Amino acid sequence: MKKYYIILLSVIATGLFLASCEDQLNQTNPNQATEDTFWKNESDFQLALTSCYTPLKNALNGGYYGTRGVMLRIARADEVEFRNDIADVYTVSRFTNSNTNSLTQGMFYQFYNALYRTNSIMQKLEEKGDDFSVEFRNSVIAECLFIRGFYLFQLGKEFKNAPLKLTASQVPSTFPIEKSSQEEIWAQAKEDLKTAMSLLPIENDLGKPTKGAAMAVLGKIYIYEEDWSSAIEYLEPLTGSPYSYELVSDFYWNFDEEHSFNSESIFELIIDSTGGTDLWGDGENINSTQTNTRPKEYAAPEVNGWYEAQPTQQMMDMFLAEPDKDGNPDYRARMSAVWDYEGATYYQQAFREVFDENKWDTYWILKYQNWQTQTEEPSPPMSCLNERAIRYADVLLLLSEAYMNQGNFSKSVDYLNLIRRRANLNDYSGTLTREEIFKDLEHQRAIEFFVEGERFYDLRRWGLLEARLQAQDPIRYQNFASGQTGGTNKFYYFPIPAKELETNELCTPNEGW
Amino acid sequence: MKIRGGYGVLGNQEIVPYQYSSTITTGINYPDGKGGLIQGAFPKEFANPDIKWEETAMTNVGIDMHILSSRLSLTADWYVKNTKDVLLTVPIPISSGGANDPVRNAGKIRNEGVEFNLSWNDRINNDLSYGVSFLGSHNKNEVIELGTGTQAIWGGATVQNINTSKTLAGYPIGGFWLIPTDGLFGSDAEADAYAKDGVKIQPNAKGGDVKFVDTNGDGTIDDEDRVYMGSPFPKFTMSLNGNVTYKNFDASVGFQAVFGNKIYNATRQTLEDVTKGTNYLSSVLDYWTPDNPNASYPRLVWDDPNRNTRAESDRYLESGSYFRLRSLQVGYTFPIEWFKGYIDKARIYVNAENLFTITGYSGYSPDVNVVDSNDRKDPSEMASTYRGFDYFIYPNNRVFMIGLNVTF
Repeated sequence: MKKYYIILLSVIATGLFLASCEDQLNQTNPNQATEDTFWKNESDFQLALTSCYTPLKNALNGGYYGTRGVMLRIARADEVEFRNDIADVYTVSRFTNSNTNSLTQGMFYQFYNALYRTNSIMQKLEEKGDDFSVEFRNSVIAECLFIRGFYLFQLGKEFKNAPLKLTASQVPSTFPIEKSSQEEIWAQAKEDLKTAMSLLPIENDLGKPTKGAAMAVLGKIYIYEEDWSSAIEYLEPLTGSPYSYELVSDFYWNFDEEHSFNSESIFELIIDSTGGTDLWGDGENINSTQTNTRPKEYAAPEVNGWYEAQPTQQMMDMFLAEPDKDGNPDYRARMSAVWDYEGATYYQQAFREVFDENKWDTYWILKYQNWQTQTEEPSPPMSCLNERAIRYADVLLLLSEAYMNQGNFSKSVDYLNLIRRRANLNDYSGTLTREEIFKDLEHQRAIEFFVEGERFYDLRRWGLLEARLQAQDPIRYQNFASGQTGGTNKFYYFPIPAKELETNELCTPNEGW
Repeated sequence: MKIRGGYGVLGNQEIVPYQYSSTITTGINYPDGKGGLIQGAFPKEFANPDIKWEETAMTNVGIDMHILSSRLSLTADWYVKNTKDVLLTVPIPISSGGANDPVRNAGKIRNEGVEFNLSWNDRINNDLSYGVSFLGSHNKNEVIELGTGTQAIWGGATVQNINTSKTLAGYPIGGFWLIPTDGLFGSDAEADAYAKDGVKIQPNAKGGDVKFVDTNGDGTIDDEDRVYMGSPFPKFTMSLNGNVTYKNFDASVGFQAVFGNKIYNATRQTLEDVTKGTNYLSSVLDYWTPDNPNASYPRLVWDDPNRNTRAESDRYLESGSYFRLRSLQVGYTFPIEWFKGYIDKARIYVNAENLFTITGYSGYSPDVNVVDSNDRKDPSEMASTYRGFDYFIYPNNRVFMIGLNVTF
């Protein structure tokens, strides 16, 4: 009998003991910090906010201002020609890409990467709201909404219709999401930027967005939507007080290391040597470099470069169409590209000394290259030229376009002349008709923003893509023309990546893909 | 003779631990524009808080038989294994913002098969004995249910990021899903005539380009035309071993064979592509021209507008069946009298491995397990949802050895 009681008691005791240590079965990871310990104080939020900038400059996996992202943005127009080295860039440039292209997939991923981070931050801030001061909350929200609005603009610009992800969640049931139209995406972008604009300061730390930056992006979205009066509403104030934006007198100062954050710069991505040495990783670890390989990509082999792309004949014709006041070729042309002319230098040596006679008829890119500070591109390639994402010159030309479309030709020409005078050109001398002004506008934008990722999108929204591509390279144009579908062409936009279609059952392919 | 049976349930949790909580990635830094670096961090790893182990329930029935004075023996088993809550890396949509594909308990898989071992050993007299054994197995693998949203997991990505295998319910794991081809177009007119309702199915095709079959009849060639084309798992594997001992000589031989599996030859898909300025394989010399209409390789054309070299075509899927002489060994044991007790036993032998392989596979070796071009970047993430993908697999060596066993 006694034995029986002892056994019964010990069984009950064990049962009680086990029932109370259920939480001991939930372990936290002792090897790494996990989310349960994050989001606790201001510095956690600052850490998270900083991590929202790498998606913009990630080099190899589609950061919009990273090396490969820039290649995708300049590959589809008539300004440069890519050689067949990086397959995913080459197929995009030849209009033979498909929805499995890993670089367009990377670009797609970085948009949603940034969205996930900014959405998470704003959600957590809302949860913990009262722990922080109103000031702190507003400054975090302002930065998040600028990045989100900026990236939503790019998402609609690149993919047209895509999922509009405004909540961050790791729960699988939230993953299937339909596409929203470009209109809806841009509507959200505008809303985000307007809120950001109201909360951002006029001047901020280097590399951080400002009120002016938000307004510039807003204005640009309105231009893309052809809403001229709204565009003017947001862009015009940037030309006067309290903003002190001004075109710098030397065009070249926008693309060198010495004059970063000059008066023309509205928003810059900082490319610096303060990071680690890992050039080819995912850009998001402690060893990742903060430099980029952009100059090495486009430099000629004679100066240790990888000669990925060169200016086309069509672009050179545009560059040389109008000489400046002193009869020399346009200063902007001489600072953007090099060809065989008297006094031409390339990487601190005479053009004719760098190249053999049989290559004297070739053209090379100079913008965002180290051609005035180095004799050759170094190995490893770690360049520190900041990417100027938004320049005041763009604001002026967009204003010119808006006034032209409103019929205010003299005001439109005034803005054009600001750009012309900076380049030491004569003032606009054509007639005050929309047709003539537009010709010069297209011309000035092509020269001003060579390899800055504007040409393709300008031609697309003006309906001139077919004409310019056909004139520049008829064979490539054939590939492009095969994308005709309905009233549009599938190659105007990138395809939704195959991985998204395979895993998100509510997402349909883009038109024509 | 014995008949036996068994049933058991086993759990498996061999994945990276702590995957139920999202770890923080540090080092996502950004310069401050003045020569300094601002630290950044974010919990960017997607976790699965509901993760648990997978369970396999196995039932088997077998017989053991020894007859004819134990010279002939047979062991055979029939088994069924049902695995539920399978731990798999399930791809998630890019729009979720996730940097990785988390491991989930993703479904039910069933393996059913038969194994047998038939052997014959005989001793004819004091000097001569021999034995033969034949082992075979047949396994059928089927995914019963896949608990992911889209009910399918793609895998087997080529360098061009195109998937070749799909895991979904009703088919084996990692089955190959590709677009069937139907030879080459004989002429431009034939390519133009391949149309549906007046619209060309392959608008960029000319004579000498590959003709793809529009399996779903919608007038275009795309991923919807992929069909199930085979499994990387063999229907039947076997090995045949024999040994003979005569006086002091002994010899043994082993054969191995595999039937019914398919291999995706991604090596050939990469090397055979001449459309971007590379030129590796001599098989390309047999390219189509109007004078060479029965060529094996399509016409040579820059940029490949018809996408003849697309990875999702069945031109790169080959049969992986093979028959191989795995090992052959001949030995001689020295008579013990020679050593007068200093040495207990001395035996000299020659051994050859992988002497020959009979196979229809055109790659280096049909012994392909898995490694797609993504695995090569991160071998710790070995694939569990696809097999039979040959991307520059290193071939087996033929080995010749001579050896001496000495026992003191």
